[in-house]
Amino acid sequence: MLVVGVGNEFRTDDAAGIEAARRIKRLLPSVDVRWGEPLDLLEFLGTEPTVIIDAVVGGCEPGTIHRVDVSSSPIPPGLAASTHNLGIGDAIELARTLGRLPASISVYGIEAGSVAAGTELTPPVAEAVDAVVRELVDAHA
Amino acid sequence: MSRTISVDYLARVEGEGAMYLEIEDDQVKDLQFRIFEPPRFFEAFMRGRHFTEAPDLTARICGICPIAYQMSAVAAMEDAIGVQVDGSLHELRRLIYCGEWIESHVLHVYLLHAPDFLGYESAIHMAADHKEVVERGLRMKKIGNDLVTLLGGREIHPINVRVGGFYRTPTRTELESLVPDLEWGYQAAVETARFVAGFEFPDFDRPYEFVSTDNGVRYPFMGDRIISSGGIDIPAREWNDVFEELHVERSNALHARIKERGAYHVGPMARYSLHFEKLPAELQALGHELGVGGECRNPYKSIIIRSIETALAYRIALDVIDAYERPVAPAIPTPAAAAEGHGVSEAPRGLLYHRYLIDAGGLITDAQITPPTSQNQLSIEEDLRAYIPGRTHLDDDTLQWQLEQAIRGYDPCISCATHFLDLTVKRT
Repeated sequence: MLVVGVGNEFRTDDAAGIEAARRIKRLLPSVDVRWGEPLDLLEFLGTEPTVIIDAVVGGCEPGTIHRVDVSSSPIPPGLAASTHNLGIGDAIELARTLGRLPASISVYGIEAGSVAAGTELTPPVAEAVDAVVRELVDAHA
Repeated sequence: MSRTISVDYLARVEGEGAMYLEIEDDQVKDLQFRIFEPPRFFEAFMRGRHFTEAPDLTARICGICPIAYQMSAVAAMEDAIGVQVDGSLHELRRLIYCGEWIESHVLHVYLLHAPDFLGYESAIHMAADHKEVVERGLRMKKIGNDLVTLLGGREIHPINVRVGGFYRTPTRTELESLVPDLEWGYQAAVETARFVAGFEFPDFDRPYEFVSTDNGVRYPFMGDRIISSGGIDIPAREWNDVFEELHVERSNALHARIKERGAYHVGPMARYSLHFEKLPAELQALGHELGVGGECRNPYKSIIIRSIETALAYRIALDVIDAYERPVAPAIPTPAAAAEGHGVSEAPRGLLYHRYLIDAGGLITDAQITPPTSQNQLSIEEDLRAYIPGRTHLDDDTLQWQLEQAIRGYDPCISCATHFLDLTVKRT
């Protein structure tokens, strides 16, 4: 499994993907965990099943977890927003166009409560990060 | 004639901001380039931190140009405590900066700016028709990433740069492993420059005052002076004597300008025009071959200059590796001292100025970070004001497209200076 965390650690809940990836790396040292800008995804992708974790602004309650299988269709447009302009949705579609997507790839989008400047996750997003980490660690065990 | 164009979103600019434009007949009635900056969050965040933490903390301001933040931070701290990093440690800093210019410039040229010229809404649409072109860009960019990773470490942000040098320096063998890719990259960048020079460019030269870092000898990544095409030639520590940052109501970001003079222009075109004679002969010849000569004042042609600078970065990387001797120690001693320090370096987008006050215990008591995009804001506004008269006959879509393209020519990295970007054009 490849886990990719995307986000900005200084934009409050936008750090959710980075934080989740960091914890998964600690709990599952054998899993390939990467962080980066959305476009770095193109360099990380191989053939192994891939999970991308990012904060999203999709209009749901903060902390809502969206699980989207993107192996055969794009991220719904309303979910692609993040503070990175060439977002993860764009990176996935570029990889698809270039034939670089693995057979299994999904996105865990954690609905952000705030993307203002700050270094602490808001409580509902912190709980959602816990849940995503548990789910992925259990699935791998 | 009265028309209204309303556009909510300016894509392909790193981060987000806003543009508001009101046109009456053939004239610009109102124009605002708005940036919503987390109000100087980082400057406050730095206070109370140890001066040696500055490179790691400021690296996180921008995911695209962390090295620039690190280099301006270490330059300012080394200025404050009175030490100078030279020899192969300095060369390694130039080398890691090459990696960042490559990554950032290639990203911009291939995935953000070229789609404008080729008539595609995005790089994804462009990739469907020009797969080989996009693949070449991605391969070029990866070489920059590899360079930054080798020298900077494999973490979210580069972590190997420190005040006084590095935590670990690479072996010659490690660096030599990159040579074949860098040689390929140089040729690919030259081909890129020829490719983009074939695009169609509006006839639009601007009377910019170009400003850049200067070290007197080399095309600048780093230096201790600031020069301009308008006669400025000052040590970096006099930045606040010559430039000022003004709060503008419409924007959270500060607008920088030359005191009592106004807008100025930083970035690839400024570097190229101020330091053309310092380019290797073959890249000077390339500039002439591509019709930009020794000076470029057309923001649409910045894509050509970025491509030439990309070739330069591969060239410098090869030269640094060729001459490399591993430093005796990875860093020089950095004793704390109560002082003020100033540092400038050339982020891919232009001059990045840092100033810090540190106390006797080495804690930061004040910080000033002026990113290139804040410095170019007024220049962007003036470009758009100048572009519109005589072009209002263009239909709304075309005009909007060309204005967005002009803004993108600056490669504004709004994530380091800001938040959301919307473009609104209103014609009355």
